[in-house]
Amino acid sequence: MKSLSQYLLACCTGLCLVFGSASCSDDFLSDPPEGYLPPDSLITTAQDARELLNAAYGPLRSGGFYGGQLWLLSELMADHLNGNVDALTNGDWRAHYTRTTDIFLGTTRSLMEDGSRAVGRSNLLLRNIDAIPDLGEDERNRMKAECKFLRAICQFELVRMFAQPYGYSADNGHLGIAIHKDYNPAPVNRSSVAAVYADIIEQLTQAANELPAQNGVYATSWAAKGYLAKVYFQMNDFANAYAFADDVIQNGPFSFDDSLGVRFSNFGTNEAVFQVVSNQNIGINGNAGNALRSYFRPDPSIANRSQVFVADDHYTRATGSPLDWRGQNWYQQNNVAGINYVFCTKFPLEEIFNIPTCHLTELMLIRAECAAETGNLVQAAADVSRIRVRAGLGSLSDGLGQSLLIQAVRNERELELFMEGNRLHELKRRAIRDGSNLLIRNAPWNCPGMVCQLPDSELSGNPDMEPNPQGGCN
Amino acid sequence: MNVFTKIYLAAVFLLLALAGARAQGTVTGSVTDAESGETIIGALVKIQGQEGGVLTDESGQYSITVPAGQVTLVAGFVGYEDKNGSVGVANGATVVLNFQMGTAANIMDEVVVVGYGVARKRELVGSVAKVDEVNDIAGGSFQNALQGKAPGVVVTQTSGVAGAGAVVRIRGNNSLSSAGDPLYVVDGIPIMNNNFQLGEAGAQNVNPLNSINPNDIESVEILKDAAAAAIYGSRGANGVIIITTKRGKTGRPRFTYNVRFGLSQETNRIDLLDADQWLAVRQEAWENDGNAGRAPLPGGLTYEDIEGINTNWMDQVLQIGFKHEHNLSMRAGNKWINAYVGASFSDAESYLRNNTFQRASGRVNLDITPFRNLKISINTSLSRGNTHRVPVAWSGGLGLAQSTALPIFPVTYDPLIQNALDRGDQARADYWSNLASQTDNWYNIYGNPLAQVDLTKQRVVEWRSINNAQIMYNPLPGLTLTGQGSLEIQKLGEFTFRDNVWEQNQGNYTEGYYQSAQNWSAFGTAEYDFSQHLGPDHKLRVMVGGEYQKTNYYRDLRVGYRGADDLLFNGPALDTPAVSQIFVDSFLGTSSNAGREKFLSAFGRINYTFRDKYMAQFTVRRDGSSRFGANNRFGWFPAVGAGWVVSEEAFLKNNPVVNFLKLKASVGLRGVAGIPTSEQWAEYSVVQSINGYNDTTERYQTKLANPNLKWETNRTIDCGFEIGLWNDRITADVTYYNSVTLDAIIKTRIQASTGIDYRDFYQNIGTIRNTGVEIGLVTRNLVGPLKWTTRLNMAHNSNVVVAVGAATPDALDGGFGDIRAIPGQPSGTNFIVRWAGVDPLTGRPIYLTAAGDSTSVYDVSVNRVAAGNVFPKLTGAITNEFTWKRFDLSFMLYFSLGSYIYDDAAKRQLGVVSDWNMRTEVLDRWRQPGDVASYPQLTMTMLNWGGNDNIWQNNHSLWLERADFLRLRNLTFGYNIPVKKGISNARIFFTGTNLLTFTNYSGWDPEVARGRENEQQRNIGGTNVTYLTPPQERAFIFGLDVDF
Repeated sequence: MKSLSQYLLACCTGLCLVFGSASCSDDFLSDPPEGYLPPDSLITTAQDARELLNAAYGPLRSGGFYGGQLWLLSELMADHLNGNVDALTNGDWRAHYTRTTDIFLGTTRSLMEDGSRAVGRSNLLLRNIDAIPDLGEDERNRMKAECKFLRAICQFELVRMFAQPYGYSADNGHLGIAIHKDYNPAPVNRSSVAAVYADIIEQLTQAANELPAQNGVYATSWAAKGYLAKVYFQMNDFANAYAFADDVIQNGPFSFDDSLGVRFSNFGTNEAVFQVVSNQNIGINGNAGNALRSYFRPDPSIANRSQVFVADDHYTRATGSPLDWRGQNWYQQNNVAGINYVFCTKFPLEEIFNIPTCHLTELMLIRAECAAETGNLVQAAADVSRIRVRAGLGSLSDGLGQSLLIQAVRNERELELFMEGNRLHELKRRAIRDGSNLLIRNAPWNCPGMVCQLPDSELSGNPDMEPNPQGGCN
Repeated sequence: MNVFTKIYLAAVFLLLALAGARAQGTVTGSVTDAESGETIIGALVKIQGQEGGVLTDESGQYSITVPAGQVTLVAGFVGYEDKNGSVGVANGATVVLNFQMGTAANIMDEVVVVGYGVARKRELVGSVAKVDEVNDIAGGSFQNALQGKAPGVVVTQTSGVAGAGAVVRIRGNNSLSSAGDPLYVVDGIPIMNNNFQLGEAGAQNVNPLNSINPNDIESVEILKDAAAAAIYGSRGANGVIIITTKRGKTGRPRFTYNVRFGLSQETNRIDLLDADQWLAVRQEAWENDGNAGRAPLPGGLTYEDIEGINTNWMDQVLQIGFKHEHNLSMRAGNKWINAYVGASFSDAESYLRNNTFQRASGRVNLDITPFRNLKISINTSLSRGNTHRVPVAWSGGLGLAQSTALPIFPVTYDPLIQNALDRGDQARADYWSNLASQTDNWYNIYGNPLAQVDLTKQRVVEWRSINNAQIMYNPLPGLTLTGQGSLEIQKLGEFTFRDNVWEQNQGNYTEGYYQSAQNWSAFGTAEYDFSQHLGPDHKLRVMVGGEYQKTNYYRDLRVGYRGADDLLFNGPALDTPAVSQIFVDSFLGTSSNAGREKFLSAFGRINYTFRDKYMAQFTVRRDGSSRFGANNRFGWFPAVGAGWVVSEEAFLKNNPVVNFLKLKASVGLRGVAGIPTSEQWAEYSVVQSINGYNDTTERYQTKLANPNLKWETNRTIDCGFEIGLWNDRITADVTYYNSVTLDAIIKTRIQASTGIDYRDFYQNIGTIRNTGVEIGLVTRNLVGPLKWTTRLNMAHNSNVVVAVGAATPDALDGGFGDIRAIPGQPSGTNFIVRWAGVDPLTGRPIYLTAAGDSTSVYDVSVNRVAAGNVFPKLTGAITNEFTWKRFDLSFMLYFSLGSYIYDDAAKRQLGVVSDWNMRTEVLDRWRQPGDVASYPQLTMTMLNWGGNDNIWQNNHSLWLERADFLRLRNLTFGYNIPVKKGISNARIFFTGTNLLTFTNYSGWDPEVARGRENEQQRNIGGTNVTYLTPPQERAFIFGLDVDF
């Protein structure tokens, strides 16, 4: 029996060894993937912080956001594009055209995700920035202000797409978007539109105060002010919108382009208060405008059609004057397989171009309309005439009354900002300003489907998230 | 060699020498079948309690040398009960002892393989099912042969595509976001089983188990409950399928040759519109939408062009497939070494043109017994599976043939040219001729199903080698030490070839892509049988062991080559790295995205039996894995079980009716570890300046850390009884189980507006319950010369998602087809808007709101509800087996009741009229007020269906159908040919698979599983969702088995 007890002892020792070693082998089993870096060592130096900030700008140019669909989707929902079944074939885009978006659309997913990435990365930087030792105080403050700017402009674009406009309800208590102030997976519910706009204005105001006047291609105090003008204008707050637009026009380093052809070109524009830039060193692949171009320009792989065509009635209106440079250069009618289609040629076919998201022309249109609204008819007429003259049209006739002047500014805005993601939000703003029952392509401006439904990627992460009402526009 | 071993070896030699000096005699005799009196060839006769023994020769005779004195011999043969006989033998004498063998009466004495050992079925306290015959389908995977063989093991073949896999679920779906497949163990090695190695490429998942040759399999044991599977710890909760390969047998070499030839066709076809019907439907929709004139035709065609064209595209890509399979194996052995050697080749075409699965495999299993108490087993196998894939479903082929390949489209340009010439339109004829010259006359080349399968080739080649060496050593009576080391190597190549024509005349294109994996594992166990110290009433066995497994995954080279002929296919095999170097010039890049993982475990098992009547088992495993987060690296998985053989009690012993009754119950914890290897790690991304914003480097976090991630814990209670009546004329096995997965892993979604890039976040927050009853029943209805046995197995499973934390239905999605996991519902729930019918006044759809009110608005944001689910409530099979003289006949009826199928393509085949072909059922549409129709007024816009203007967003219960079916899964008729000397057995047979199907389901086939992209989709929507998915295969197989 001695051998038996020896074996038993050996077994028990073995057992203890096996279970024991299994229990204290954490390090042995810790087997991170190649290239793994613990998250707390991601941003430790000033250079890391700079790279992260640059990464926060990156999503702006993605195809779901300023790089493409942000503008396209709003234009699809407005009245400048051709929605005939043969002309517009993309199913998701048709849902936007017919104002029937639902929660399962790739378009709204990209829009929400790409727009939010800039917010998330800004939040991550803000969370870590105070712990970075080798970052100077000036640079630290500038970076913080840039983060605020990025968050604000993304929130501004997203709330306009996913919520009814400012002014839709008397107290703007209707639902806006979720505001995230930390890089954190915790779900956040939708804030009211009033709260979203208040947050946007607060951040842009801080950014305007804290950003330098010059900052390379990145956000400057002028960019923040330019966006403040856009935001206040969207709110029909003409006094504030005028003040910020006027400040940028008067005091900023930007100059009015002589030629309309440079806004989207590889020459670049001097008007860009803020723009999304292309990479120049890798050819056409670095073009931030690739997605935009692909929507509108003929594509050999689909029999030289484009993916989107311009509505015939808008084409007729925009090209009514043979003198108008815009009408003659931004539209082109071609016959494709027996049918005449109108191509938008505003975005160049082969050039690398930046995407100005806030430019002097727009601010001048804002200043003009605000001036007209607030009784400064001379300023309004001067601004509108300057834009008309550049387009090859004459100055406005003298002595136009307020309402005719407002009408004239709105008309120029429609033609000038064609396909720049302006039209839908402009029509809604007007409807609120005018208190009218405006129809946008036969549907009430405030019908439920006139805003995008939130995508499942936004709703599925938060059981308490309230979707938008759907339908009601047809 | 250490001191102990030296002493031990010396002792062994001494014992052998002593044995050799002892007095000996000889026993001879015959072994015959007690019933028929026929001699049994190859029966093993040995001295009781000893290894070795001799085999009967071709006349059923044996001769064995035995020690002088009283000796007990045991005769055994497969299918017969072991027979003992005692005889006294004087020194140098020869005594005759004949054995008449009876068929195995008591299956309870059968030995089954359990984790890290074997056990008598009688002593099992857990639920273990054993399946012997897994090679009845030519060229298939052994999984397919498990269907209907064991209660509670639901095998859904994905489709009839060559090499297609199966979704195997044991006792329902235990997991949501983690892998729900059972653990597969081959000869003690937990093997790799990744269905998503190629994602859902070609609308199919790979079947990683194809490379295992069913003919090498001796038996498949399925461990279903905690008592049986807790020994596999964190990987046991979805059940364990243990595969044991064949081994050598003592005796002269015996060969087996099997050959099968067969034909394949689809089980069913759907009815599509012909050209005239399609044009009429389109015209009606065109006019209903307020348009005038003739509806424009797609593809630039005119009505004159298509005059007389009516292409049945399904005919173009369907075929009668031919299959053949050859297996040759040998078993041989002596007292030192036993060997099994098997080689196999199969080439199994499916009913899809150009689609075949070829497998070549070889296996050598050796058992070396240098000493009586030491056995070394070496197993090695190599197999190569080559699937000639064709695109299906959404990726083309038959999928195109039933969708965008319209009946008005010709196969080639010839009819278009001829029509133009016939009407004297030379310009149009030239126009078509010019286009024809660009594509070698294929019309609509990229949308042409036939061009697609003829101008492109795709091969998925899998090499797999499973190797292990095991040493089993008995240093002392009752003590067994086992050590095993193993290496499994897998290499998967994906090769594509596209013809010059397909490549727009830029030259042929070939591409190869490789992945490989190495899976190292080792375990050791020590088992001691204490019974010898405890007296006759007690049996006690204790086993402890440890295991380590390490798996590395590599993504190798991807190469592409333009201009050459189909070198990848006809030239040197590219699936070796050395040869691939010739392509280095056209190198397309590598990916370093390799994963790796480790498991470290310790386990133990105690079995106790009192008077063969009461039995208890305790098992425990401690499992750690690199898949788990730093805060939860190791878990405990214990289980206890008890059994009571009531029929051994005095009050039931010798009962004329009940000859056997056993009650058993167990409870235990098992785990699920099937989470992606890197889920716990935070990740970041650096975009180099050239691609970064403003030509500047970007750096950002892509994924959050998840240090709390851990295994799922499954708590299973299992109780049941096994009964034998009238001397086992009827045997039954009934089990109830209640299995709750706690800490179920749920892939929650992070809100998009957080801006976090990677928004899947795995959390242990779910609870899933499966409860069910399993019944296995065998009745031997006739036992005379005509034998008739009926086997029924049946299982009811009720699956409920109890809790999912705060996860939303759309976070727990099962992929396309609107399948979700929702609390209070089965995990594969059809979460859709309910269809209420067609409004007889307007012809527009009527839906139901979530509250059940009628509405004409289709709104998925608020009106989706649980409308059905994909899991059957009752599954099973009835098999009848008849044998008479040399004939045998068996047929299996398989049934599945209580599930629904969601036809995700019906929204295009029966919904909005578009550029798809449609099914003929759509002709039952509303045309005028008062019509009571199945389908609404024809229209080309989704707005008329009340939804958004997107024909893909049209998911509701009109496309949901009951999936109940009964099918003649298998019919086999065989005849044993009278054989002459030299051949011991020969049988010819016919097997038909899926010959008949009874169902009300209107689509292709009620047994369906579409390809999926990840484990969650496979769990929740892996079965009973179809999107143009090809049907199952009906096969007719003729076979010959010869033993010599």
